[in-house]
Formats: sequence, C-alpha cells, structure tokens
Amino acid sequence: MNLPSSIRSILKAYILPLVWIFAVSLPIMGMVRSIFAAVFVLAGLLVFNLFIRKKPRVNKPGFSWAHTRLSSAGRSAWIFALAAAIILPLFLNGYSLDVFTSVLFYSMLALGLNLLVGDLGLLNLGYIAFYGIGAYTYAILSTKFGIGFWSSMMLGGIVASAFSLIIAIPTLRLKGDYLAITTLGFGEIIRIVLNNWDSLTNGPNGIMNIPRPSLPWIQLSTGIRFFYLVLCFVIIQIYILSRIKRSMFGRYAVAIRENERASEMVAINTYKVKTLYFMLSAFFGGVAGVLFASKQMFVSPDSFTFIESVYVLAMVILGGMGNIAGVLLGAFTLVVLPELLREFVIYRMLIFALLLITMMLFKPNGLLGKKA
Amino acid sequence: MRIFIQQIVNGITTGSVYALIALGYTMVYGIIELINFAHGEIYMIGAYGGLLVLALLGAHHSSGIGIVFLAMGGGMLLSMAYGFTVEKFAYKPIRDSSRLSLLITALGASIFLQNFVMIGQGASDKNYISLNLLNTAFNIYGVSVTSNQIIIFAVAVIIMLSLDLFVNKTMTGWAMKATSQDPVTAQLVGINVDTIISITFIIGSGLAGIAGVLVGFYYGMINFYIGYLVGIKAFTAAVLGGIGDIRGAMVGGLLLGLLESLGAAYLSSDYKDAFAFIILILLLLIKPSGLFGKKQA
Repeated sequence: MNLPSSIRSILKAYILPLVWIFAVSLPIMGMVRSIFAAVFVLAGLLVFNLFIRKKPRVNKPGFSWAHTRLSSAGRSAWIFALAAAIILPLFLNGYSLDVFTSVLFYSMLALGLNLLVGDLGLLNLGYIAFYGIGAYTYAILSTKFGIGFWSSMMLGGIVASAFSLIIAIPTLRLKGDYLAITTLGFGEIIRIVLNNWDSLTNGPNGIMNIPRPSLPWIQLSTGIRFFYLVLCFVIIQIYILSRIKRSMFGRYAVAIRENERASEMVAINTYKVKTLYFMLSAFFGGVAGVLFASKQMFVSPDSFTFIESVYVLAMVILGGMGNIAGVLLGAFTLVVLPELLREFVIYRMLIFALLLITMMLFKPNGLLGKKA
Repeated sequence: MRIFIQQIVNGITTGSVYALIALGYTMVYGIIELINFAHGEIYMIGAYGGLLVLALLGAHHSSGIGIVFLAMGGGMLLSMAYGFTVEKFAYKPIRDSSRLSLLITALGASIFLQNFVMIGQGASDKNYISLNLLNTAFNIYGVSVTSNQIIIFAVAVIIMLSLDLFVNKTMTGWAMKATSQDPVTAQLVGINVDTIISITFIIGSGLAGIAGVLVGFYYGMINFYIGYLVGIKAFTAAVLGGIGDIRGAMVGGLLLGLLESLGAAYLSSDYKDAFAFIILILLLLIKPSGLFGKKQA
C-alpha cells in the first residue's frame, strides 16, 4: 500500500487498537458495549498521546526525609482534618455516620498495610486475614470465655501477629513475589478455616451477640460514640506510625526498600526488620478487627474476602505509598466515592480496576506520593 | 484400594488442567518475572469462548467429537486474543517500572477481566451442554473412567509434548529460552524481545483457554468467577515444579491435582481448597526453588 506515512501512523496508533478492542470485546460484551469499549480506548489513547506522553519512565520509589518533618502547611492541614473529623459527625445522620465510621476502619487497615507496602515495598495480598483473625479472636473470647473488650484488644493484635509469623518465616527470605502469592494463599486458608471449623467459628453463619466495649463511665452504644472511639484508635495509630517512621527502625525499612543488598552491606539484618514490620502490620490489622467485631456485634467469613484485601491495597496505592496523609486520603476516597456512585454499581469494580492500572502507569507513587 | 485408584484418576484429570494453566504462569514468569494474576481470568474467558462456539454451532447432546475440538479451538483463540491484549495494553507500557507496580497492574487486569465478563455475560452460572459421547463411563475393575477424563488427559499430554518440542527444537522456542535467560543479550543477538514476550503470552493464554473449555465440559458449568481459585492453584503448581521451568510446571500441575484429590478423600473435603496453599507454604519453607527449579535468591 502506498499510503502517506502520516495516515499510516494514525491508522497504526488509533484505528488498529480501536478495531482490535472492538473485535476482542464483541464475543463477550455484544455489539453495543463493544462499541463503547472501543470508543473509550480511543479516547484514552488520544488523551495519552496528546497530553501525557513522556519517555518511558523508570520508577524508583522516591526517597526523601521530607515526610519526617511537617511543614507548617502540612501541620495546618492535619489540624483542619482533625477538627473536621471531630466536629462533622455531630451534624450527620445515621447513614453518613456509618460511612464515615467505615472510613476510619479502612484507614486503620490501610495504615497497617502501608507499613509493609509503602515503607518496605512488599506486597501483602491477604491482609484482610489479620483483620479477620482479630475480629474472630474477640468474637470467640467474648462469647465463649467472657473476656472483655480491652484485654481482647491486645490479644487480637498479638494473635494476628503470631499468625503472621507462619508466613513471614518461610517467605521473607525469598523474593517479594513469593510473599504476594503466599499471603494470597494465607488469606484463602484463613477464610476456608473460618468457614469450616464449625465448633469454633460457627461456620458460614458467623458468631452473633458480640458485646460492645464499655468504659466505666460511658456507654459506647450509639453510633456517634463509637465513631469517636475508633477515631481515638486511628489517632493513636497515626502517632505510633509516625514515631516508627522517624526511628532507626523506620529508616532501616526505607533503606531496605531502596536497595536491599546495599542495606545488607551496611549490616542491617533485613530479614529481622522485614519480619518485625510484617508482625507489626498484622498487629494493627488484628486490633482493627477487634474493633470491627465489637462495632458490628457480629462476624462472618463473608467480611474477609480477597477483594477486601485488594480494596485496602488500592487505598494505600491511590493515596500515596509510604505517606500517612496519602493513605488516609486513599481510604476516604475509596469508601466515599463508591457510596456516591451507587447507581453505577455493576461498573464499580471495572472502574476500580482501571483506576489501579492507570495509577500504576501514570502515578505509581499515588496522589500524594513523590514524583517518580 | 478402589477409592484410592478412583481418586488418582480424578486427581490426574484436575491435575492435567492445573498443568495446562501452570504452563502459562511459568512461561510468563520465566520471561518477564511477573506473576500474571490475570492468567486465571484468561482461562475463564477461554471457557466462555468455547461456550460461544457451542452456541453458534448449535451443539446438541448427540453431537460428534468434532464439536469438542471446535469449542477448544474457539476458546483457545479468544484466550489468545485476550492474553495478547492484556500484555499490550496493561503490561507493556510499564514493563520497566518497579516489580510492585507490575504486580499491582496484573491484579488490576485480573479484576478488570472478571468484571468485564460479569457485565457482558451476566453473573449467573452458564451451562455447558452435556455431550453423550463425553459421558460414557468405562468401568475398569470397579474404577470408573469417563471418556471426558480420557480426553482431558490425552489433550493435555499432546499439548505438553508439542510445547516441549516447540521450545526445545524451533528457532522461536530457542529465542524464548534466550530471552528468559538474559533479555539484554538476547536483544544483542538479534532477537526481537517484544515479539517474543507477546508470543509467550499468546501461547500461554491459548493453553489456558483450552483448559477452560475442557473444564467447562467436565463440570458442565462456568461462571465469571472460576478463574480466581484455579488461577492461584495453578500458580502454586508452577511454584511446586520450580517457577520458570516448563517441564516442572507439567509435573507440578499433575502432582497438585493428585495431592488435592487424595487429600479431599482421606483428610477432609471441607478443606480441599486450602491444601494447595498449605502445600505452597510448606514447600517455600523446605525447598523454595521448587522440585525441579534452579536455586534462586
């Protein structure tokens, strides 16, 4: 063919992908949706080529101490967010309050997972298992043995981190990929066990009548009081995490993420640091689980599926890996946005998956992350 | 004893399927070191492709053997197309990024395809037609073997032998091996690495697609969710045999099928799905490079 090269390049860059996507979608999606898919891809390609195209980037997780000291702008943003979190719930109805409480729960989880994914660059695809272990620990201890909320709290975290050792010991010496798949398998094992060990977990029916926590002088029965309780936990967790980040230990983690071999050369025991981080991350997951069980007063294996782990992971990625404020933003966005998009419920996961892929392509370090 | 042998027969059947899927994981991992989470979904799409061919050709209960192979061909082609597309649109643009980004992209691709099929084909189960010729059961000393099981095993063996020949005897196969050993040097000696990666994805996906159709006939029912569990089990099989090793994946698949089937019979059928992962964790503890794998860090 003797086409001018400009036409040929347009054909190759736009028409070919368009036709291809249409042809591939057709058997699964049918005519109308395939046309939509093709148009969508065309629009994506146009936007990409006209506005974003850059040289292929080599993504190195950013390295900076900037986050260890707060700028004054950063400090006022924190104070503003805290004030909003304290005052806003007073004006919310029950439903919105529930949404915001679940923002807090996911924040706890995302912050815990961020220790691993953001600070160490290790992928945990079964994080929700620790949440589940914490929740069931409290459910079983309180309903069968009458152990109270506050002592279960620590126990839930400790049991979760004990379980985390089962994975940590075999896999943390290996390449990170193995950790990803093993944690995925671990998450499944936990869910299957919860589903089948009827005498302990009551199987798929779950455990009911889990007591609410109590303080000597306040009843934590209403939604708003519970919201403040969880908020306290989130604040304590953020405080602990920011201390860890500034400690020697936290700097070891950053060093390992940047270059594991070099860290070994300067006598950091990488295996030990990774294991401790893994246990710590599981601990926070377990504590969040105990809180979750006491809020719901009911646990069942359905709450702890693989997709939940992915959700928490997406929060960490969206906001900014390794950045506490970013992770909170990610949790907020990914809980509130789906509530607003209720009409598009079947497209929700599709959009969510596209979001993950495009984030990795254009902003692998997240919205508040450093530039790649 | 009879139960034991029956479980071995069943185990070999599911094991053949795991092996076919594990090959795709191991080939892709060997060449770009990526756990292709979307591979399970490619298998599921293959099953839908087969279903489509059966519907187009108007299959009925007494259709001949030809229709089985046509369905397999359809599933294979559709899976190949999807495997190629995922590689081109999702993985290729970020191939140079960090491993974490690649893994997360693969995860995104997996969720995307799952929901893509759910939206297009609906969330409910779809039935594969039950062909009379596949349901013939042979009774050998009290052990029942169906023609379906024989076909699965035979197809898997033929495919694996041809793949082995392809990788070891053809130019493209050598190029694949060279790329997996050292992509930079492979490029220096004139191998088009991009093409080889695409070919690897296409072949791996085609095998998964065939497996999808075989499973569709075997269980008679598919849905958009079948890829997830089988996908991670097949990955376990690939690790079992030593990831990156093609023969290892075949043995690993069969072994996993056997262990699972025997475990379900003698230990507990409730925990059947957990065995694969328990085996994986134990294996990583004892011999992380897999049964046949080279030693790796």
